[in-house]
Amino acid sequence: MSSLHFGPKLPDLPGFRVDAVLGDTVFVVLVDPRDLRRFRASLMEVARISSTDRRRHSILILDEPQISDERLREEWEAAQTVLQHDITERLTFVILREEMPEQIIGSLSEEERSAIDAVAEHARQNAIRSVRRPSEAFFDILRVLLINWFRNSGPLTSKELSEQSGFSYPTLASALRKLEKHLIRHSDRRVELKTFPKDEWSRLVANADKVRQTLRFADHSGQPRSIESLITRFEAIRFDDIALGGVPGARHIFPAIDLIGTPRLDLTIHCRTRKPDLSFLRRLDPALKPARPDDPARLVIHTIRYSHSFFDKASDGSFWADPVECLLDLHEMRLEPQAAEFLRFLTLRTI
Amino acid sequence: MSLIAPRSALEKIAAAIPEDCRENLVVIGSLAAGYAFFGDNAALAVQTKDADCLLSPRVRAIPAGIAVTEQLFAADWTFHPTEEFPAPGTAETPDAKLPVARLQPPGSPDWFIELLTVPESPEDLDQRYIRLPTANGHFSLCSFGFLSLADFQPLETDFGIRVARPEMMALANLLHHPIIGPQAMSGLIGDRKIKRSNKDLGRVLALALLAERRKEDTLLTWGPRWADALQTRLPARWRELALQAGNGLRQLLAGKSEADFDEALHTCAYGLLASNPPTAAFLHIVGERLLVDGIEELESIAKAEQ
Repeated sequence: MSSLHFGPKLPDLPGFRVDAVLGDTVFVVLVDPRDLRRFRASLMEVARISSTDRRRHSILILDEPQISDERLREEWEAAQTVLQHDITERLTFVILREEMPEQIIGSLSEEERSAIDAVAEHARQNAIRSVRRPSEAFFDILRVLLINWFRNSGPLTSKELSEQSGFSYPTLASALRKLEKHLIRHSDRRVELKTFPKDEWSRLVANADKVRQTLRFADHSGQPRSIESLITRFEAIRFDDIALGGVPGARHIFPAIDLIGTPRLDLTIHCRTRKPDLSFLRRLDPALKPARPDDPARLVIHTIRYSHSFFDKASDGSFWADPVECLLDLHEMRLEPQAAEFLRFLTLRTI
Repeated sequence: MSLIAPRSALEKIAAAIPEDCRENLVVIGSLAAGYAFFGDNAALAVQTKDADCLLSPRVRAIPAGIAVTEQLFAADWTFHPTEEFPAPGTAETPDAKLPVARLQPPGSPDWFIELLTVPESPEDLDQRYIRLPTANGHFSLCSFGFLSLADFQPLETDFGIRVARPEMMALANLLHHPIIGPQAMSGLIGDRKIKRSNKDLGRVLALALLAERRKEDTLLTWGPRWADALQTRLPARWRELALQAGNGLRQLLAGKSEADFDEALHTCAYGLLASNPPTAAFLHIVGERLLVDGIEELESIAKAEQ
């Protein structure tokens, strides 16, 4: 039996690096592909790999494609018309979608088939950064600028902003152009906010669910655990990639905020991969299940995908979400007077 | 089955038995659970037919059992007859034919106490009967399974006798049913024949539900106390037992047999939870909460000490 090697270069094909190799089988994974060009390019790549004298079997895995199966099949069939038959017969195409059986076009041995999940998971975990739509990238960059501004971190170089947000220079430049009137551009090309970008913020608040990939959970027991119990349980588990936000988070930053009680638990997950690992929910309460539209949420989870988490580590080792996350949480809970009060407090700190 | 107020029943039992035997008597079962969870509310009652009384330690079981039985007879308690055992045994009755010591209070034929004892050795999990020769007849004192856990750190009552901790009764039941066996109860619960495993595991769920209802997050304390009890009472096998304690409950919750879970639910509705029966969905979540907070904690303690 061959063993699985992740991320090797192919010695006979300089410049080719694949996601995994199992004997003479190579795996190439496209995580979250959203356009056909990328798919076509990968098809040509695997065809090239299978065209050498090694006669490798190439398996192209599409993990959660944002393209319909019909379009993908059309492209696959079109590619077959331009490739030699002895190459196409060594290609296999696998589509993975959550909660759907995997679709396989071509052949797979038992050994290859059993490696699919591990290869896809490895590719997910090692994605350079999650794919974000341009609008989501803009909101991410806006949030990173706001966090630095609220924290009085001073101006940032493009390199720092790129490192913190995880976005490339062209994406940053595009976002900064849209925020021009709210920026100070220093002579050394560092940038920072000078005013609160109200309009952009309102757009972010309106799109917050999508941008933050918000997930809501409701109690399905009829005997719900108190929010205090959920918080205590969360704090006992001690994650370094999940932080407490919401009302407790706002209170942590601004203890004098006019808020009594905690209506729900808001958590922010710092997740660079496609899907956050939510297995910890069971330890908070197995009664928490995805909320239906009318269910009052007891737990709300938001995902941030910047390179830096911006979490604030407390002396007891627990993590708190950044001020922008907490502010968005207050808006989402319709605690508008408190959100306004919190924003005033944050902006006053920037003076 | 009768509705019995735990507090007044325990008071009645305590008043009827010799004072110097009270420290040897631990009430287990529904009455103990009722006292632990709502003993402070005289208006609440449990549905039960018996008060199981554990005589402990084993070395004191026979003399205490004799003293308790004779004093109860002297206080006009009477033998609780059944079709199979219409009267107490005699010196000539073979051990296997002796009735268990079931005594009913005067004027209350609806419920009775049953005397039990802990196993002679913690490793002896089989059902054993020992002769209890009293002036009022010969009886059998039964011991079995994990009864030695039921009297671990019992709760004091206001009446000088003690009651088993709910979590210890739950642990004994969990360990007693590592799988859901086919054996059915001899009698009916409600109008249904129920598997013993489902009845006992249903009881575990009822105890967990009542514990959380009384005080949130109580189940988090169960795992460490279970580990403590197993290490104290069954030191040679405690890790093995800790790691298998959840097997029966997992089987019940796995959803492979809805009929088994329905029997557990039925047991709750006709027992400890009669006044406020849970839905099947809620009882299932109680089971999952118990798995996470109690059983997995016990397992992690056992694994950490391996």
